[in-house]
Amino acid sequence: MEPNQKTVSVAKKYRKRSAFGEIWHRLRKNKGAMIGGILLLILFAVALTIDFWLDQELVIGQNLRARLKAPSAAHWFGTDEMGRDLFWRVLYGSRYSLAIGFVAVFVSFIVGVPLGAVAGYFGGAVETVIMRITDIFSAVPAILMAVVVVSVLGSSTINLMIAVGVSSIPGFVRVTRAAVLTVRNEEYVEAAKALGKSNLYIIFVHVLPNCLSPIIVQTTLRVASAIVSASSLSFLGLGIKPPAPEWGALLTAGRNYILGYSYLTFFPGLAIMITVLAFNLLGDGLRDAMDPKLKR
Amino acid sequence: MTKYIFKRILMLIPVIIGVSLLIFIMLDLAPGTVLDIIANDYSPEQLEELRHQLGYDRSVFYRYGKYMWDLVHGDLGISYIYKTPVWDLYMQRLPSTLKLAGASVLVSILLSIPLGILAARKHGSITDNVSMVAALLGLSMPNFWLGLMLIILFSLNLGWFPSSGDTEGIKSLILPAITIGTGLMATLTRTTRSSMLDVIRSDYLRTARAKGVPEKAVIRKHALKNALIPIITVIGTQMGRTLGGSVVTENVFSWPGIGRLTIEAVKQRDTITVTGCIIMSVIMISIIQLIVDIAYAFVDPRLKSQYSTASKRRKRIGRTPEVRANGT
Amino acid sequence: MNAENRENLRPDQENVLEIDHLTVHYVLEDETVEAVNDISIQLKKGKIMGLVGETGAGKTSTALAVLNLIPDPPGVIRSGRVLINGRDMLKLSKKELEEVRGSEVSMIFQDPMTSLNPVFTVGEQIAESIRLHEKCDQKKAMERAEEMLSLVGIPPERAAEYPHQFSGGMKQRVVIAIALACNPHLLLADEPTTALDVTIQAQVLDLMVNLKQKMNTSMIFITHDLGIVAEICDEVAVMYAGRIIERGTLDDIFNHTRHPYTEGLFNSLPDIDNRTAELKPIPGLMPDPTMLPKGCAFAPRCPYARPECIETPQKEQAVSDTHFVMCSAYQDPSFRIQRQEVFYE
Repeated sequence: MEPNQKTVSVAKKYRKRSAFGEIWHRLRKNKGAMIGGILLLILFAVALTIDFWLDQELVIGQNLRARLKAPSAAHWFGTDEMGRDLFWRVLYGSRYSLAIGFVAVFVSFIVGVPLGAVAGYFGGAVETVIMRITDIFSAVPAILMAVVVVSVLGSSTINLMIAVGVSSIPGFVRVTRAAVLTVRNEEYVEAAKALGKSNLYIIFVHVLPNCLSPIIVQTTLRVASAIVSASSLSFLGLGIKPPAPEWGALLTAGRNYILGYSYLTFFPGLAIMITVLAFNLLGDGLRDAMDPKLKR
Repeated sequence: MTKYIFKRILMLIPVIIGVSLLIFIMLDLAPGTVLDIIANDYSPEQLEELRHQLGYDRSVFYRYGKYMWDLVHGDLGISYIYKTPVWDLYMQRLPSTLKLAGASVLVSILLSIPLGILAARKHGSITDNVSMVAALLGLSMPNFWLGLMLIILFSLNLGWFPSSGDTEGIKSLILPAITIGTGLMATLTRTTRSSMLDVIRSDYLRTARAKGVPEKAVIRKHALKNALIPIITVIGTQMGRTLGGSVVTENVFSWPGIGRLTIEAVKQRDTITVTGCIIMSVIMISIIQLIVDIAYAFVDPRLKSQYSTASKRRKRIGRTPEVRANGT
Repeated sequence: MNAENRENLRPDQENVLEIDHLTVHYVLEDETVEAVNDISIQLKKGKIMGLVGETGAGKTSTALAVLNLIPDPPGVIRSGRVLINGRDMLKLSKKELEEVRGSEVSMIFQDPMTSLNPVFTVGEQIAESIRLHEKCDQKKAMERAEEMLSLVGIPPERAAEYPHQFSGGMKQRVVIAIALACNPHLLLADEPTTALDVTIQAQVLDLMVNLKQKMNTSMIFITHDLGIVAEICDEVAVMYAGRIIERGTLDDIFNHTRHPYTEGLFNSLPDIDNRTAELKPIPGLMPDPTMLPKGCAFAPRCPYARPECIETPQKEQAVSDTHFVMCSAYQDPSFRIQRQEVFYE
């Protein structure tokens, strides 16, 4: 009978997707997020495999006869003052930026999320202490904090990661705490408490999984800002030093030749911008997909 | 009201104590001291004398205690490097930073709010999409790169504006202000748009339209006033941040602001100057936050009645600053 | 004689509101919600018409279309005319619309909690309407606003307070005051009492009826509460899935019910004389407004449904001069529903 068929088709239309499937479905419809995601996939593929297919010589080998050549078919981004091909150097630099971005955010995630969760879940004195300390740390501008940390630890890639990571801890503490506050009084948390579960168990099994979305979004966007911070430090001469093809360092080196050879500053910066843009696009898309109420 | 301001000042004290301790300890951990930097200016005997004088022969806590003692008496100390009181150093640099912060925030307000409103009203249209893509681009551009590109185009090639310093008035101001303003604009446009979108389909706007309120007034009067809280929050945050000095942009344009002063001081282990600058910017940020809080009460009557429990309220409003840093 | 002929024969000058073949759709990304489908209504001066139906039947969309306030996008008014005092709301310029809204026709919204702007005082919100339409200064408008407040039973000195300082019932009174501030000819009341406590409901209803009598306003009263309809309405239109399936005077609908859906509505009311009697809800659900059946939308739930009901689109048929029903079963003169002549009161 016809009504029956209708019921079937209605059922098909409203077929239940899993929560993850639902997010994926919405994310896939977001053009920006998809562009960002694809860009990032390409960047990752390049960064992870470049050692296998790119001759190191192209990145570090000097060729004084071909120095400071403007962009051309042979050298897409031109060559630097040592005659090294800027395109390959920029491509190779993706390793630094992505690694720094991820490790730095991992550092702040590992420290910030538990602190924020504890502050939000327990409240009271614990919360006050954690949040006051967070206030103190965020009173120092992030870039300055990173500079101070680098001064303490000395400038190396690892230290740069730590410095940038430390400076974005307060952000993670805040976001996690705010998210935990929204679920801490939910009935399922009360129920778990009534069942006598330990606080630690409740935080990790009931509370955190229910406030994942703001944390995931925060993480994605933080990678973007970590990449900018790291290259800013290199630019200030406190991060990775020039011969290394890190984007900020390339740009700093190029700055000496800004008169007449502006492409040396243009392309490394463009690379940073595109990477950051990709993370921002993906982060925005994730936010919309995970919280349809906020969909713009 | 007075009570409230007093409370805010009280809340500032632990932050200042904590921040200065943090800076003192961290810079003490860093290799080298200010004495190594200035060593060449003095004879070994003088240096030894100075080491004792400044307390570098004792623990960092002694020096911290001494600094705090002076601070309680309203003295920010004397910079080891510049041999000038930190207060004077700060005041020398403040006008340039104020100018830059003021100009960039002002430009960003004037352009972003109308653009954000337009994008929200034409939600989903080409105007909306284009301005959102532009805003995201603005957010993703590192300041040092944007600054250098502006210099290449407008100073080196066109010769319209100077590429460094703060000596030619408005002309010097334009490029650095655009550099900082771009990031601010991007954030503020996005905030305005999303806040307006929250409001634009609300029942009370429908009520206003049903009363026959002209569309322009519906948006400018009924909608905007409701959307203002997050907008004001973001403006306050931005103002506070730029007043602390924009390290990167000031570096690009050799701008004689507080950001550069601080960073140079860090490099030279000039603990007193670093701490002084940060304390000043904490105070600045706090003043701005106070102004923002007062503005809230003017905008939203629901907040006025809760004035006495101001700290709780701020939590509820949920400051959600955009997390993206442009590497100010 | 069908409805269209009747209109053509007697273009009724007394009608404050005439809706002709109004169709409103909401066009979403991958589906179209057919909210209002080809409905026609006439309302005379000083009368109250109850617009009855389940949630999602298209009542609110109809009211919004009368004000030409359908949110666009996604709303689209596909066809139809909405005449208020003879002027077509759908053809007016922006400026003319702004003049008509609030003065000739105004609306009381369903949810008093969200219908008032939180950042302006209630006095300002009432005065705004007066200032716009009666071109008077702010001071005069505020005085009038205070009068309006006392008219709806709120002490005038509370004009300087903000909505959050009022209770739900008080807010609804403010919303009513805003709607009535400029003596509109037509008032659209969209479930004005649904969000309120029962005791407050009665007060607000009394207030509205009193004000209506004082000002001789015509009113469309949207509700799903048949009790309220019986109490205050002169005429009734029953909506189902975006169509008016039966309309007539209160007596027509309540005592000479024709449509099986209307019958179902009455049957599902609790029986006040026999409290132990089981409630008889209408089985099934209203069809998905994004995929309405091509025949009668009620047919899948209708105990009298015949094969042709599912197949053929329904037409409105006159039962009497005032009573119309949209049920093709009546083409068979012997067709009767169980509930026929029931006398209320």
